[in-house]
Amino acid sequence: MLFLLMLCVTGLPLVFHDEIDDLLEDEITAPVMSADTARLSLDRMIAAAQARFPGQYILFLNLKQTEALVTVAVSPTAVPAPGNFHRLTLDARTADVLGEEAPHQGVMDIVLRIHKDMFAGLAGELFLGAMGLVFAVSIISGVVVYWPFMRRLDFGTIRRRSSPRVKWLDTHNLLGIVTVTWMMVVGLTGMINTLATPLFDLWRAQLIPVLLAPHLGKPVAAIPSVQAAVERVGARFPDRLVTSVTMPTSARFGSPQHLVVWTKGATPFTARMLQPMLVDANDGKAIVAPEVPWYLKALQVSRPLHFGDYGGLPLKIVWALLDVITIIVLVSGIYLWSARRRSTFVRRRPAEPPQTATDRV
Amino acid sequence: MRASIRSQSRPYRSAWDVFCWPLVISGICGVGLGLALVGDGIWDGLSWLALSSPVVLTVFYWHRAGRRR
Repeated sequence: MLFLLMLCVTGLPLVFHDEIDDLLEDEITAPVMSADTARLSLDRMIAAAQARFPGQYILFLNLKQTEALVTVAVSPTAVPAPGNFHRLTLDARTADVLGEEAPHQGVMDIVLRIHKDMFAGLAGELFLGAMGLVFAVSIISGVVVYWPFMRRLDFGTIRRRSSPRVKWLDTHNLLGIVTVTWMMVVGLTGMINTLATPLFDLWRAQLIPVLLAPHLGKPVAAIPSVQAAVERVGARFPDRLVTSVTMPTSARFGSPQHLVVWTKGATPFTARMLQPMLVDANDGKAIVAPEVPWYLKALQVSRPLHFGDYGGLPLKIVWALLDVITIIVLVSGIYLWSARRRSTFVRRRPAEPPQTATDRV
Repeated sequence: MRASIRSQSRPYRSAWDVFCWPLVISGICGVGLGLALVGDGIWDGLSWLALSSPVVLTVFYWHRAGRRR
């Protein structure tokens, strides 16, 4: 219960993390130029980042869709330590470095870590996933006992004149039953999210060895022309937008012999379906477009349903209100549980009074 | 407890009567969750309306219970 409460409380600010981040940190915007100013080659972005941090490793490029900005992640080590990389934001038209984000942890990063794994890595993540399952089970049991409680009451009755326990029982029942669908969806999608790391590793373990078989024993490939690879992907899949490019790497998020060009669809629904295209880094030509397995597609669709970030600010506000209701349901549930424990303890010795519906909390 | 004595005089409700409204709300919320996923613009707006229904109901019934005091 307390863990669920923690998840709800930390989740509340996380709903608005985009807005809070904007508030706390100066957002980098591209300087105004005429709309038809051409974008430079992505290879120029990499060269600019290498000039800024000579000798360091380029990890990946992010291409911003709404503005002419490219983010380049640079790490001092070939396999980056968690969070230990620089993020350079470049103007896509001039290759000027507009901003530089040193490795740091903001307030929201800490809140996110508590919410996600309580600083305990994968074990913490899976533990909180199990909590999500407990949440789902307790919701179902709550719906089952809703019937005996409500058999003699109109929907939505709150007996405010009665004892605080009856009042809170009615409140718990009403608030719980109206938000049950939302709680179920957010709880279960949150649980699915905790499986993201193992599921992605599973897919990678199935896919990468096959692709790497011809390159066995070779060192990590040099970075080929990223621009040419992106153009080749765009020519072969004209309906997909390139969102980021991962350089050849021995780290878990990429392949040592391929550029991974991440693409998304153009419609709101397919935009959530990321599809990696692997471009052979040795010749910069051969493209492999692996089929994304169903479990990763399910994972990608479940993400927005957990975060509530798919329908603008009003949806986030609704999300926050429902989260507050969930907190009230949890707190009143704890209160009712402890109140019942106290009363059964007191009543144990005298003869059990006739049970009323309100006593069976 | 006066309230429970009074309510005992009422007939028991069937499962259908008890769960009728919850099912309707649950359906509305389910549709609301899906709508914003498939499209933007008008779909987002419908989704906001659908998902605010639990909040509106909570406020409405809480307010009504207070007025009857």
